[in-house]
Order: sequence, then C-alpha cells, then structure tokens
Amino acid sequence: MRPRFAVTLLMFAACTTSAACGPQDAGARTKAVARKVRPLSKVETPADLGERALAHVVNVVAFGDRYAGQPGWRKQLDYIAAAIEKCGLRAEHDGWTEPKENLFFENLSVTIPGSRQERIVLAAHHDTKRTQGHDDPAHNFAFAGANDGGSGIGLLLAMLPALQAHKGAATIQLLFLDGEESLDWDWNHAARALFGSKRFVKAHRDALLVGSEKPIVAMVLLDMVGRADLHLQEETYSTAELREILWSAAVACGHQQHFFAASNGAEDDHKPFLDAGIPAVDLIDLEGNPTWHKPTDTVANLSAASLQQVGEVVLTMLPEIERQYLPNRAPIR
Amino acid sequence: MMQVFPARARWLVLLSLLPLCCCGGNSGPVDGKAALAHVERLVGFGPRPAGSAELGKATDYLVAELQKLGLQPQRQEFTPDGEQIGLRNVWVQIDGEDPQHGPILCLGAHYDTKLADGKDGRPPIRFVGAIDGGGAPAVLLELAQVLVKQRQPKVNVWLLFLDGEESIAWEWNDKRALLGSRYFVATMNQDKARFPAGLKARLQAFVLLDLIGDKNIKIDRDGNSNPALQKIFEQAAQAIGESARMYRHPTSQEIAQATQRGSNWGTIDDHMSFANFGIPSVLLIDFALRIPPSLQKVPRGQQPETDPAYAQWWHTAADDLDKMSAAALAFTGYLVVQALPELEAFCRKK
Repeated sequence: MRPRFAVTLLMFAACTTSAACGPQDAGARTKAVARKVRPLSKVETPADLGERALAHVVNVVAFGDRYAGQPGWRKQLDYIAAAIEKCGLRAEHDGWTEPKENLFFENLSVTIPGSRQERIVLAAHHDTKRTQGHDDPAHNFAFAGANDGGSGIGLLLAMLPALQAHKGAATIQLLFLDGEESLDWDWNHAARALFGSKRFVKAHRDALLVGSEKPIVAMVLLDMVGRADLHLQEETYSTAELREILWSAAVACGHQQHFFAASNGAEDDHKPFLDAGIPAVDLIDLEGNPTWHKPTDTVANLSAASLQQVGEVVLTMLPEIERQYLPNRAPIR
Repeated sequence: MMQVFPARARWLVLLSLLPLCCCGGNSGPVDGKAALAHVERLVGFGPRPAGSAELGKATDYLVAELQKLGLQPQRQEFTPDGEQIGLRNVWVQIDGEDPQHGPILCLGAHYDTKLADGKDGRPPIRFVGAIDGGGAPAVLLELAQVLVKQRQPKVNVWLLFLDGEESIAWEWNDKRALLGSRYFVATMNQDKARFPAGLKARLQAFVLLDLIGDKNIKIDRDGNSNPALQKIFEQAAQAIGESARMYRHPTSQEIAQATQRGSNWGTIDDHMSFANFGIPSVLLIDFALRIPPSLQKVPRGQQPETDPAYAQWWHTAADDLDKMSAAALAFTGYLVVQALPELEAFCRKK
C-alpha cells in the first residue's frame, strides 16, 4: 500500500524539525478533537489469541519469500489451507494467471455461515513485498514480511475458532488475498498492485448482478497489525462509520493508546471494496512505521500482546458492524 | 380522464414497494439472464446484416417481445437512397406523464450485424454479432420490462432499435453506414403530428448502447458525446459501485496525446445522427482494446494495441455468446436505470 502523498510530505516536514520523531513521539501528534465513542461492550476473547497468532507468523515467515512464483508462496498457501481445515472448515482456492503480468496468483477464503447470508469480510494479504531483482541495489535485501503479510494472516487464522463461536447473524468470510504489494518497487498508482482484491470484488459484483450472492455488508482489513510498538493510524479512505466503530471498540477494550495517533490515507486492499460501494476499514500501522519494507520487518519486532489487542478490538467491532449494516429484516435462508 | 387518478394511485403503491424489492438484493433492477436469453434468440437467427431475412426474424422477435408487455411498437421500413435493400427500424414509446406532448428520452441500439459473407472478395466469416448487434438491443428489451412493470418514467422513453448501423461496405463508408438512425431523425422531424415544432423541441436526449455484453465489460469515454450526459452516467456508475468499469479508457494520458494530434477520441456511431441534429447524445460503448491486431490500422513502427484482459472480438467470428455474461448485461441495464432520474431531469430542464 502507499501513504497519501501530500500528507506524507507534511509529516516529513514535521519530522525534520523534531529530533525525536517516530512512533514513540506519536502522542504529540494526537489530535485534540473529541472523537465520537459508541458505548460498546468488550467481546470475550481467548487469552492465548495473540500467542497463537504469533506462532502462525513464525511458521509462515520460515517459508521465506512469499510472493508469486516463490516456493514459500505455495508453502504458505498450503499452510493456511491446512489451518482452516483443522477447524473443520473448507478452504476455497481461487487461482488465476494475471493476464498482463503472466503471474499466477491465488486468493484463499473460508466462510463461516451465519443465520443470514449477508457477509462481513475480514481480510489480509498473504503476499510479501518482492525485495529481489530491483534495479536499485538498496531495494534488494532479505525480507521476512513478519508484520507486512505475516501478522494479518496469523491473526485471521488465530481468530478462526472465536469466529466459529461468534453468536452473530452475519456470515463471516475470511479472505487471504494475493498480489497486494506493488510489483514495481514504487506504488505507481496501484497499477501493478491489489490484484487479489480487485479480482475478488469484481467477481462479487458479477455475482450480485445476477443474484447468485448476497451482498458483502462490510469489510475489515488487517495489514501490519503485530508490531510490538503498535500504532494503527486512522486510515482516512476507510468508511467514517467503520472508523467510528473501530475507535469505539478500541476504547471499549482499553487499547486506544495504539489507535489513531496519526491520521492519513493508505491505498490498500480495502480500496476496491470502497470503489464498489462496500463499507470498509483498514487497520494499518504504516505512518511512522520504521520497519515498513525494511529488513527489520522481522518476528523480533512483533509481539503477541499487540496481536491480542488487535484481535480483541476486531471481535468487539463485529456485533456493532452487524447492528449498523445488516438490513433489518427477518432471516431468509 | 376519470381513470387518471386510480392509475396514478396504483403507481404510487408500486413505487412505494420498490425499496423493499431492492434492499438486500443489490442485484439491480435488470434481469441479466433474461437479457442473455434474448441475445441467444437473436444469435440463433444467424448472421443478421441489413436487408437479410434473418434480420427480419430479429425484427419480428423484438416487436413480439415489446407487444408482450402491452406496448405498441412501431415499424419503420424503408429503402435508403442508393441502396437496394430494405431496412427496418423499430421504436416504441413508454409513456411518461405527458404522452402526447411531453419531452422524450430516447434509448437506442443497433441490431443489424456486420455483413461478412465474402461476396466482396474478402474471406467470409460467420459473423453472428452477439456483442455487436445482440447485447445492446437485449438490454433495451429488459429495460422495457423495468419501465413497464417497476418504474413508470416521468418523461416519455422511446426505445429505438436501429437497422443499418454497420457500413455496408467492409471498410467504413460514411454514406453507407448509420442509415437507420439518419432516416429516423429525418423522418421524425417531418412528422408534424408528433413533432409540430420539430423533433428537437421534444426529443431532449439520446443514449446509445453499442458493443455491450463482454464478460469483462467496461464503458469507454467517447469524445463525441455530450459531457453533461457523460457526467450523469459517471455518477450513476459510482452510485451502484461500478466505477471500476466506467470511463477508465481511454486514459487521460491517451486523451491528452490524441488532443495533441487534433483528435477528440470520438467514435462514429448512431449517436452522431442525433448529435449532428443538435440533440444531446451519449454513447455507452466497450470499444477500446476490442479490435484484433489484424483489423487495427497501426502506423508503421508501432505495435498494435492489445491487453490480454480484454478479448478482441470486434468484427470477427469470435464475437459470440461465449464471450458474454448475464452480469455484464445486468450491469448495463442497471447503469441506465440508475441514471434515469437524472436523465429525466435533464430532459425536463429544457
């Protein structure tokens, strides 16, 4: 993904004037504006959620590079599918050759049926940034993608049992997306990025148009959610109501110090959903993240506590998302 | 006149039910599968060039489908100057609030297919025109369903099925193409009963659908279209979550390059017959990247345009049902229905 350019420049200007710039200084950037808080109840969350998420991250990082064409890419997909099937659920594969790139991508998904067919999608990308073969030698290095790729996958997998026990009406779909990262080193207006989410949304649109699927009512994206020094920004492309629900859930869980210190847009896998009119929110730790697309994006810089906190917030969001977005009528099945 | 009030009241009831029908489905008001079934019927008649018996079957099919809805389709049969063949336009009015004198929004599509029988010495192809001559009229038939059964238009909507769009000569020949639309405009303008002050006084906007139905459908920006009408469709696409398919081609860079060359990225199509007559007109077409390399006129030293995401079926035997999807037809119909309130306002403003 990429930060919105103009604001990044401003932030950069601010940083150059301050010696102590960075995540540890994030409090200084907190807006004074009062945020609207909905009174939500913290949802009971397994105490080992973060530990299990981190264990998944350790396992997938061990596969090495996980972008299209790499051996680790296939190993990770097999790993995700196996973890899904261990929960007694079915992993759905959607593989395709991207015409212009001649690369084979694969999205994975798993559906947890509710009493209603309308879906809430929880998503993360599984591909890692390609850090080999670039012209600029500074862009070629060993990259673990522990946070950027690993953390979202690990947390989704760890949340599976809790989501199966989820009492809500909506169907929940977990989506493991390929091809999020730009094939070029630069973002380049997402011209060669977000392949998996674009494909998924297009297929959903087609299915909606002929009435073969029920609508996705909301999408929650997890991207870089495991850093020990966790600072999820207020991602400003995200739907305002979902941002409010996210903040309210963070407050309900007592984790607001990790949220919304910075406020900025990031083009990410939620963009195709937003373009299709689907409410979406991106939980992303991009602003001021010193490990982003750096050799330091390793397991050593993650913590189970951060993953636990994000998991609690996401699970706390779900009932309110249902209340806000599920059409209010009798279940039809 | 006694019946006016009960009829209106019935519409009010139907309209108030509409939100119930729409919510939760998101599938849009136009039945894509039914539209695809129309294309299958049309393609089933075989190649349908202007003047052919096969096109006559298509004419009868369109008329019969419109009559099933209780409408009164009109046939317009004529032989154009300099040609030896009989052409057949079909049009039908779906009444708005003032059927006799009110403004008219015209939605058009050609239903003739490109002549490619080889009699001109070119290698013959079996050209059935599923997308080019099938998809767009099929969408119009399903729009008729919506306008009759779900949503009475505020202005009179004319659905116009045009013959003779394709150039009779293989290479585009201005004098031997757009024959149906030019005849329609000229004769309607003479029709003093319907248009005492001329066609322009009542026909406020023309929307043309062409090359509709590819599985990976997109709608291209056409340099010859009315910008205000284009804006209406751009916003409609956004409102139904379909901006990814709308006006991404040509890119702004391609438009800038074309402008430098003195070109406006315009497509010559039936809407020009209306635009040249002074009627605001817009073309909804999926044309960019659809021309196969063999039919592209590529300047020396340049590569033909191609993108593997977009099948290149234009004027080839590949233009067949297997390239199409019900979703693409449903999308196009949805786009028009979504734009309808703004189109009605546009037509009534004048």
